[in-house]
Order: sequence, then C-alpha cells, then structure tokens
Amino acid sequence: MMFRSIRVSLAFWLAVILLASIAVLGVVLHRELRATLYRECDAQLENWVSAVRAIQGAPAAGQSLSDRVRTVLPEAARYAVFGVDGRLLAESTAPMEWSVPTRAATVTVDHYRWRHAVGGRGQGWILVGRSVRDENHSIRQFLITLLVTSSGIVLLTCAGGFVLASRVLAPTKAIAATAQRIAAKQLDERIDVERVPAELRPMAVTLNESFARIETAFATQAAFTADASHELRTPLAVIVAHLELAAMHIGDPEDVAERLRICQAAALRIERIVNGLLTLARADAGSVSPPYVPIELGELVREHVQAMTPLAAARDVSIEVSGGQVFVHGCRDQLGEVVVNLLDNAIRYNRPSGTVTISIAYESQHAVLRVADSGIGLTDEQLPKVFGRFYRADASRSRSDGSSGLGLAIIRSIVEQHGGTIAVEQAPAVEQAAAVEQAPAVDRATAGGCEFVVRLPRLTSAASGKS
Amino acid sequence: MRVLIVEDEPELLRAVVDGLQAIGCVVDPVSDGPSGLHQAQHVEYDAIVLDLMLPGLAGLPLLHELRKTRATPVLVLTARDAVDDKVDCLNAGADDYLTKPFAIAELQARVRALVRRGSGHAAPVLTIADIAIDTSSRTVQKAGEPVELTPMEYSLLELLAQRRGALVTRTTIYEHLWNDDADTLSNVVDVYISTLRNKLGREVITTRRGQGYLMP
Repeated sequence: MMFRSIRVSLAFWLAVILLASIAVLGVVLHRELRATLYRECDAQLENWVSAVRAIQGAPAAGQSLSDRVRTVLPEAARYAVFGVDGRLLAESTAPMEWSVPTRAATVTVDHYRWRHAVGGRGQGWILVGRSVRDENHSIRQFLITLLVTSSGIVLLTCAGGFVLASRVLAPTKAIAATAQRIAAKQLDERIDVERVPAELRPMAVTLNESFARIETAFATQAAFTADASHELRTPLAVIVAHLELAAMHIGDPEDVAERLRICQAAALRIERIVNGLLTLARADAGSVSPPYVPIELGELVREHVQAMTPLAAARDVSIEVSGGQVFVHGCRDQLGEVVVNLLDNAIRYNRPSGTVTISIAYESQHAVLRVADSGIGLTDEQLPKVFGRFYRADASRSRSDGSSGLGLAIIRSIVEQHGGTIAVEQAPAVEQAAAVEQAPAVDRATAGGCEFVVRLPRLTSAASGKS
Repeated sequence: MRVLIVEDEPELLRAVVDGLQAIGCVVDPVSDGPSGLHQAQHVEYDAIVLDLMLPGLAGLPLLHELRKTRATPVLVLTARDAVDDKVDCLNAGADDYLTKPFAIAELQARVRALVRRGSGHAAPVLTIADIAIDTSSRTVQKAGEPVELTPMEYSLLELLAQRRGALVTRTTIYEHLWNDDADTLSNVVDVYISTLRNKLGREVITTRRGQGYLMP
C-alpha cells in the first residue's frame, strides 16, 4: 500500500507488524492456556474414573453402587456407570444429558468435559464429567485482556511511529527550507553539511553541488546577457546619434551621406552579432543538425584558403597548407565555417609578413586540423578564455574591427556538435625557441603566436556505409 | 566651453564631437584611458564625457584617479543600465550618466547643465545689468533687444559672465575657448573683447592690464 506521507506510512506498517505479532502470540497463548487448564481437568476426571473402578472391583458392603459412587466422587462430579450389557447401574443426581459411551474418549460439550472410560474388570462403561465453565471463563478473560492491552499498544506504536518519523524527517525539512531559500534568491547560500545527519549527507552534498552548478550557470548567463547588451548597444548608439545628427544637417547632402554610411556599417555589425547569437542559441537548444556526409578535410581547407588568399595578401600574410586525405563525417557548411573563422582569426591577429600554417592529419582515432599563426600569441591566462562569448584578448583593439566577438564560440559549438574538441596552445615554435635559447621568458612580440587544434572523430567504414 | 571626450568607439566619438561642437563646445577627442586621464589632469575642462569601457584604463578607475586632483564635472556614457552600474559610477565621482543608446539632444542638454552647475549658476539665463545671456539657446539680449554675436564672441561672453566678478586670465580664456590643435594669434582675445564692447557697451568688460579681464 502506498501512502503520500512517510510518517503515516511508517505508523501504519508498525501497527500492521505489531498486530500480526500480537495475533500469533494470542493464538499460541490461548492454545497453551486451554491445554494447561484442560489437562488439570482431565487428570481429575481420570482420578474419578479410577475411584469408580476401585469401587466396582471391591466387594459391596450392602450399599448400592450409587451410594458408594456418591461417597467417592465430589458434589460437582457428573457421572453414569453402565453394566456390560449397557444397563445404567448408577447416575449422579444432578440432571445431565448423556449418551452411552461406545469408545474411550475425552470430549468437551457445552462447557462440560466428559471422560468416557472402560469400567473395572468385567464391567461396562464409566462416564464422568464436570463443568469447565470456570476454565473457559478464565480463557475468555485472558483473551479480552490481551485484546484491550494490544489495542493500547498498537495505538501507542502508531503515535510513536508518527512522532519518530517526524523527528527523523526534521533534518530533511530543514534542508528543504534552505534549498527553497537558495532557489528563491540566495544562490550563493549552501546547506550546512556538518549539521546534517550522516545518512542525509550525500543528499545535501549533491544538492550543494547542483546549486553550485546553477549559480555558475546563472552568473555565466548574466555576464553573457550584459556582454550581449553592451555589444549591441554600442552600434545602436552610433546609429541613433548619427541619424539625429543627419537630421540636424539635412541641408548638407555630403554630411548626411557620410552619416548614413556610418549607420549602415553599425547596422551590419548588429546583424553579424545577432546572427552569431542565433547560431549559438540554435546550438545550445540542440536543434537538429543537417545530414552529415563524408568530407575530406584537406580539400575543404584548400577550398577556403583559396577564397581567403586576397584578405591574407592585403595583410601581407602567407598561408601554408600541409597534409590531407583525412576523412570526417559532418556538415560541409558548418565545418567550412570553422575553417573560415580559424583562418580569419589567424590572418587578423597575425603580424605583417607573418604566416599561417595549417596541417591536416590523422592522430590515433582523430582527424586533426591544426591552424597556427605567427602573431603575438596569447598569455596563459587568456588561452582558456578565448572561446568565451564576446571575449576579446586585446582590450585596446577597437570593437569596430568588424568581428562580432562570437567567432571562436561558434567554432567550438560546431566542433562539439560534431563530437570533436577544440583547443588552443602556444604555437610549438615558441616552446622550441625557448628550449633552444634556454630563455626563461619569451618575448611574445617576436615569438610565434598560437595554434588552434581541432580534433574530430575520424570517419570509420561503418559511418561511411550508413551515409 | 571646453569639453574632453574619452570614447574608444570611433564612430560614437565622432557623433559626440559633432553633437557638442554644435552647441559651441570646444572639444578634445581622446580614444583611450591613459591619454584621457592625462588630458583631464592637465587641462582645465568645463566638462568631461567619459565612456566606461576603455582600452588601457577603464572609465571608473580613471574617474577615481582624476578625482584626487580635479573636480571637473564628468558625464559617464555607459552601455550597462543596471542600477548597480549607475550607482557605481555615481559613487566613483561621476556627476551624471547617459546609457547607450542616447539622443544627441539629451547629451547636449546634460553637458550644458553640468557646465552650468560647475560654474555655480543653476539658472539657464545669466543676467548682468541689462544684458541677458540665455545659455541654452546661446542668445544674448541687451535691454530687451537681441544682439547678434558670433559663436566665438558668445563663448567668450558666457565664460566671463559665468565667472562674473572674478578675474579671468588670458590663459584661462585660451584654455576654455580653443583646444590644443587651434592655431590662435596672440591678440585674438583682444579682438573679441573689443567687438563685444562695441556690441554691448564699454563698461561691460573691465581690463586688468597685464592680468586679464573681468565682468563687474
């Protein structure tokens, strides 16, 4: 049976178990008591039988059998003595209903205990009996007492179980109250694990861990919202201000045209940010990805390198690609976006006449794409943060350079959707240079930049067969 | 009115410059924190328009540093509109704030109000004898009749009027009416003083030879 309340449930089951125990105990005790009492009675009846037999065996001294039986049996005894022929020889005076015994037995009929016994040598049957009303009364009294007492005990147990359960559950109530407070607004509060009973500690610890995760998620979300708001407000402010100024200078077509151009650039920037945010939001929502096809990474990279060459040339940056014949399973457009964003990043943050080195190869179970630049690199502190939304490694770089601040975040989201990972490291060139020159500090301005490493699951024959 | 503008977003900087020049401000545009602080510490500005997110040195620490030496009125531009952010910037020593995006007209009005407060005059119209100077419309009346002034003449008059009764040195006049880029002739102030006297009357401005000018 299911109860909504642990306390009621506990009290109920305690009562059930107790009632069953008492019932068994009652039955056993009842049988035992009855047996004991009847044994005494039976012994008495046997004595009476013996006494009657003794009389039958002894010579009669002029007295009738009835008189002689009356002298040896007490007042309470009921009896009947039969001859061999079944004739009634003697009978107690008190009225009794009897039947002629046919076999030896001890029976109880209507509060009377009867002993049917064979008489003395050459004699018929002897029937003796007495009332067991007193014994039966005692047994009933005992049962009533047992019932009343056990009812009391069961009631007490129910109440006790209820109270006990309440006390046991008190700490969970306290935990729930704290949890509720935390959920409501105090996200930085925690359940005091030290004050929680040992059995509940794992639950409290788990709750605390969940709260920590929620708090982090909230903080990240809040920071992200604030950043997004800032990133969108700035170009919006440009548009609002220049439109107002254009309206003031409406008589000056050149000025108005210039301001409209500024507004358009700002609007395009807003568009880029909004598109980036939408891409990320879709990835976060885990919406259905387009069908995956087998893709050769080397071909994909070279295709996009060709498209990016004019931009690289404009910045006097050369691009080197090595490796290929590396197959993965994925969405061509999305992986193309990864390549373009990484290339754009490597060109944008490179130094003049720098290089972008791309390599594509299998490394154990992964298809690995490495994009290294020869720019100023990143500090160890910056490295893990670059994939954050709206993160800018260089605060002095103007935000109007066209980047939305979401490129690397989008790359990571796509790579993870493809079951891969992305990491950024100091370019190997830096470490080598440092090791060779034994220089403890590497001058970032002249040393190599950073290397982005994309690891994707390599295409297996099973996956290619499916597509 | 000479105003320092510290804003790293070039197009927004341009909008603020245009907007403030339109109300006769002489502006110094700066696009990073350290040079903003340097300018603010070394020039006596009538007001400073300060963005919070700046490269090199953010707005709040800049403000904190500036307040150690100068009480120049500061208007903060911020993209953050949470109450905490506003409280933080006011507590750091800002006199006012505007959240992005903002209307140029509001920026102009707030800067004018800041300058007014900074000079100790709350009323938008300054009255000296029979001359009324309306600082919001930048117009002047003498005995109820409008007087035509060039922007530079007006700015000089407003500067002297705001410091009425006090000596205003030629250096102060140069600092407030021209920025460092301006190529001014040494006697240009004398020229404007004399045209103002011609339009408003000789007694309006007193000359302290070798020191400067004052409005009695």
